[in-house]
Amino acid sequence: MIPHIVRETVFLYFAALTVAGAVLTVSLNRVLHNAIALAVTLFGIAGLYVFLGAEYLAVIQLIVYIGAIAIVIVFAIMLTDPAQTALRSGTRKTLASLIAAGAWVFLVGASVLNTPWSRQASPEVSVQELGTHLLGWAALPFEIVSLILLVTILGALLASGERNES
Amino acid sequence: MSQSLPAYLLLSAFLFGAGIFGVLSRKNIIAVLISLELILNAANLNFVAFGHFTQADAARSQIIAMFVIATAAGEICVALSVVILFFRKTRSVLIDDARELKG
Repeated sequence: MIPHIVRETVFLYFAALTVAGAVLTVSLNRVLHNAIALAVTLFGIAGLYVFLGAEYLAVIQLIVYIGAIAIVIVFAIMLTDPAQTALRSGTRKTLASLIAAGAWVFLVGASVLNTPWSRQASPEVSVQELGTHLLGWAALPFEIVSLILLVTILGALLASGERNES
Repeated sequence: MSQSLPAYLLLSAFLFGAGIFGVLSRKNIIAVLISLELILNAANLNFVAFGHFTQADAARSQIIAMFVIATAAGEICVALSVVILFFRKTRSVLIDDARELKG
């Protein structure tokens, strides 16, 4: 069994990674830096999933989010004009957005801290169990998601593919 | 702390707030999409945390989170191809230049 103090330290490490990554994602000027900070945030969240007993989801997060989505975003940034990436909205708009986001975090944070949560954790979920669920009650949404992905691939290819307009 | 629900909920609220700030304040379309990913991840973290710490079925919450990840992959794929198409047409990635569909 892992000692309690080690467990807490690792948790704080991943939580700090998530928070710092999120702050950098929205505050850095260059979009490429934003994308890299997003990858750091996603990595921190993958670590948090392990603490929540969702190891399979953590691996999925690493493969799909960091391995695919972050890379696709980096490619899109490189395919567009990096010189335009430094532009931001005016100070007034930024300030208004900051107030809106801050009010949200304050409201939700206050209500979370003032709610008495029960302290019982549900039993661990094995990967085998997840698979059984996916082929059981979740079979229909599973197939629909795969259909969505197929349509997405075709749509993205059709939309951004090079066309000879002669 | 790693086994208390409020810690995860606060983290998720912060991620959502950061995402909202990014969506509202950035001019670059790709930066807005990056901030959207933060919001989706905040929702996912909430799903998994509630599944783990309450009587709800943890497997169900994880499967829903999986579907969110799959749809997010599709969403970013289509959105970025539209951005690239838009860039080819207007040589711009700024959200203020996307006014062609405005009434």
